[in-house]
Amino acid sequence: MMRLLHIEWNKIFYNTGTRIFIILYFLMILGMGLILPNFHPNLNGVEVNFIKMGALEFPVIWHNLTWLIGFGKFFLAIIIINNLSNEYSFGTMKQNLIDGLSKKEFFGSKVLITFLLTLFSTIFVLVLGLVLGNIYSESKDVFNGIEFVLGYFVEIFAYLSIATFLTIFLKKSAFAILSLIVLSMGESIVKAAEFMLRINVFDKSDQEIEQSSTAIKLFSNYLPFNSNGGIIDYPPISLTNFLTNGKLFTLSELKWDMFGINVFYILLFLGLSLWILKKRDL
Amino acid sequence: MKNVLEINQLSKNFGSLKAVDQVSFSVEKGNVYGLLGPNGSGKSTTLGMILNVINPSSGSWKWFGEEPKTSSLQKVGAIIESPKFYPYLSAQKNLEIVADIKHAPYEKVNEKLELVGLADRKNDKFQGFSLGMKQRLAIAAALLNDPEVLILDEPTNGLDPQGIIQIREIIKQIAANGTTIILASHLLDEVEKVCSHVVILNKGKMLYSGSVDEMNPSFGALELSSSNLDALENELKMMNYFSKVNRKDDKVFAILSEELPSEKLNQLLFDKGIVLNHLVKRRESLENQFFQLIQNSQS
Repeated sequence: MMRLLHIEWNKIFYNTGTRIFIILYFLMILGMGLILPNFHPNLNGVEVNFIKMGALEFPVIWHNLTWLIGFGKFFLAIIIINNLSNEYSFGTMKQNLIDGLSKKEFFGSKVLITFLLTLFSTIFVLVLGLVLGNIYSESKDVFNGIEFVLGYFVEIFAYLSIATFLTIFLKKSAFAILSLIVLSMGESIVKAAEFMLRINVFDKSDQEIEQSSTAIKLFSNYLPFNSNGGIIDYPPISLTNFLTNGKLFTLSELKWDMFGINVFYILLFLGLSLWILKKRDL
Repeated sequence: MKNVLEINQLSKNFGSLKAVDQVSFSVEKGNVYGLLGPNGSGKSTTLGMILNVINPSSGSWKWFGEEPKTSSLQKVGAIIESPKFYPYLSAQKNLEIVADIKHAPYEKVNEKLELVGLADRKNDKFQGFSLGMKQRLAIAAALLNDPEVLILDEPTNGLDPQGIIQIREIIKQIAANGTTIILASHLLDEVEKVCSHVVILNKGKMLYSGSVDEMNPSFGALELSSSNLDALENELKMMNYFSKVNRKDDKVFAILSEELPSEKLNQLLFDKGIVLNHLVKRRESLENQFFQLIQNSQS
């Protein structure tokens, strides 16, 4: 284990590009934590103050923070794709195997580094949440809603597992990044199409559509990218709440069904990757 | 003698193409083996299979008398095609990765860099190296764990004459230490210079496996010259010792069909009144034998 980690460390840390990207990623998260409280956008002459709206209150802070920083997963995916596709383009994967690393060990070292990257990102979010919450939250109900951090971990790890699979399948970083974008857009289109077909939007009034959209469960929500983004949904807001006590955000639950399906996707995509790796000649 | 490698009925199909077809041979410890064949004869595919990067269609092999496992390759040093390293890493870092993979101590890194003459460039990035330096670094990596077998696939491909000589010197040095070497090449003179055994492949099929000397039952070839070439040629043709006599320029070439010491031939010719001014006896060249084998297999 330490041996695999050390091999991977040498490969990644001394690659200037990757090192800069990783540092930038964590600076970005840190920057969000610093800028967000002081960010007061002006909407139609009304100053929006997220802190006054309770964005960083326990327990909703966990949902808001993990949702926002979740967008950085694309950044991490590029690091992983770059690292893995380099092994193909340099021919070093083949050389590693010839030198006596098994395909399983090679794959293990890549999963290990993905896991650690996800773990660090998660710990960073956790610490950021604790610090910001302690500064800006009146309530000290710290552990309520902390499952969102776990959801964040699974979201990132599943996303990187898909990226790993795409890279091993396509071998080229450009193709892998492109397919990552195209597939996630494609899933949104599929979702929209399913919605229109199932609800029959053209025959119904707006009100009916709104009612049935909450009533039915779309199958396309369970597709890899849709479900990945669905673990931590948009933070729900309530205007009634805002008018009565000034807090815009309401407490919601982690989507455990999406969480479960993503754990399944992690196993599926990592399993498929290893299978392809073993089956293919180099 | 202990077998380092045993290959048994190994085959690989790419679609309908039989890249390697039922190849079996074994490699004895301490010998230098040449894996010979024209381009596309299945040399690299065979090596790829025993090195775990190509899945065989059928057949098996044994490393050091055991079923192959991951750790077997850690006792093997191999260079396949061009040298493959991380271009953004220094020579030293690249070798440290190999050392980690092979469970070799880091002290070996400097020792082997010294051996191939790259010690003063160890902190330079691989991407700045010339092809000769890259190839020498690859040899250092292959030797890192003091392997029992060294596998080289076209090690002098694309190198300039100086680089070829350097690599050849290193190979001889390694062979002198008793390391078993498998050298795949289509350069026959290269194999002839260093190998004691050959395995010959053509179109995926094995044509020959064994020592270089026993490859063709041949008694050698003679190269003769005299002031009277016509008489010499006639006289030789009348003797029964030769399978073939022909004249080229100012020399007569004769291929022996049975054992005949040069002394005796000289005496015989002298008795007939022919005085030689040139007599050389040599083994039939590997090149000749190789082409004969390939032609036989095609006809």
